[in-house]
Amino acid sequence: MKLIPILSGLSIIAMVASYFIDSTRTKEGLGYAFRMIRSMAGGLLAVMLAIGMLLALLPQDLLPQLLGGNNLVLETLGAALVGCITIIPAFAAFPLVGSLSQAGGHILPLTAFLTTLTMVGVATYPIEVSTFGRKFTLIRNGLSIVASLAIATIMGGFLL
Amino acid sequence: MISNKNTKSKPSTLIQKMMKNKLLTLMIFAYSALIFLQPELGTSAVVIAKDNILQLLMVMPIILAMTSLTKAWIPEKLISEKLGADSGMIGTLLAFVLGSVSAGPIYAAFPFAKALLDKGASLRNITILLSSWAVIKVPMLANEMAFLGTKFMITRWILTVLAILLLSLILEHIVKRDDVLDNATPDDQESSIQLSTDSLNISQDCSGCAVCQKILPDDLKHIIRVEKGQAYLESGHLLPQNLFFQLQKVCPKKAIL
Repeated sequence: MKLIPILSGLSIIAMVASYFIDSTRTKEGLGYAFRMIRSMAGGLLAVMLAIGMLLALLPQDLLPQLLGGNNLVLETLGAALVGCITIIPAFAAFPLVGSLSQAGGHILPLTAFLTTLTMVGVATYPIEVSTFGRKFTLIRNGLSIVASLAIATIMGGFLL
Repeated sequence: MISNKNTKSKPSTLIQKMMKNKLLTLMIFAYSALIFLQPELGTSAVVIAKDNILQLLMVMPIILAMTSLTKAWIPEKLISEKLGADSGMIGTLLAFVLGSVSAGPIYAAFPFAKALLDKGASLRNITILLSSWAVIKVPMLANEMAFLGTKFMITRWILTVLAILLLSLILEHIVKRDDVLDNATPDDQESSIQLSTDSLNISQDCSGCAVCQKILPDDLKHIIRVEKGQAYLESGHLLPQNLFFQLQKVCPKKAIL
């Protein structure tokens, strides 16, 4: 967490330097970034509110029971599956996973969820097939699921 | 008089906004109901949400700066020209960089990646681009760090890069270029974008200047509708990809996303 103030400082210095080197470019970039964030702001706020509501309403001991590592294999597979079919912007997924982890979720299923969430897209499958064909899409998504489970397993080992 | 004109030009802005962000609207109603019916639970929900929002605001300057700087200084064109089959290490690296600095959801990457593939980029580099576009967002790293910790972020990042490298190598052995290129549907459809409300939109920066409409050929002009200060894309039409990129380029407000 101590990295964040340092990175904030570096960001400001970099922006000032960039402005001195080329003010037009910097302004254009900043405008783009502002538009990007503004277009995400509403959805992001909604997800934050949804997380707050979810955590307040769920019984305190339910999450540790469901994702607490009592049956790691089943929990991880389940979380990966949920990640495949859910559409949440990655941006909002981090606070969600962070909250679930603090509420007693085990790191292994949560990492699996996080990785399949971003890498595997059931919802975007039709678009991907129409762009790259069925074979490419199936193999890319299939390999991504395997990769997600592998990443989660190793992460579980590292961070326990 | 003036206020009358204003209400006329934006007849249902609030309702439009509510429709555009259904989840937020739902949440506002749900919170109101909860605070009214169960004040205690309502307060704890607000506290949790507030903490998360504050945490996010803390990393906002970093995200803003990283996005601005990559947009300003990474020459996308140069990178996209160097992703061919014989590009080796540099191509791999560029695919990673290009994927991880881009903003937007993964389906925004599909047409772009397809265009690169048609221009001769290798399947391996395209896979790297798509996967890193999905998983490694440089500005999002700060976000991940804030909510899950530095150690988690770094470990996941390293493992993910390794996984993507391996994944792209395996995929290149199984899938042949022809499998992907043969998928081209007749009538030039593969290079077209199906307009739908969620794949493309025009942001509120639009000034309604209708420049975008002017550059379209006559038989396509109807896909853009301009109403007092805001242009709309009609959904359900096919728009050739190169035309879409032209629209983005020509828009003085850069409002076509």
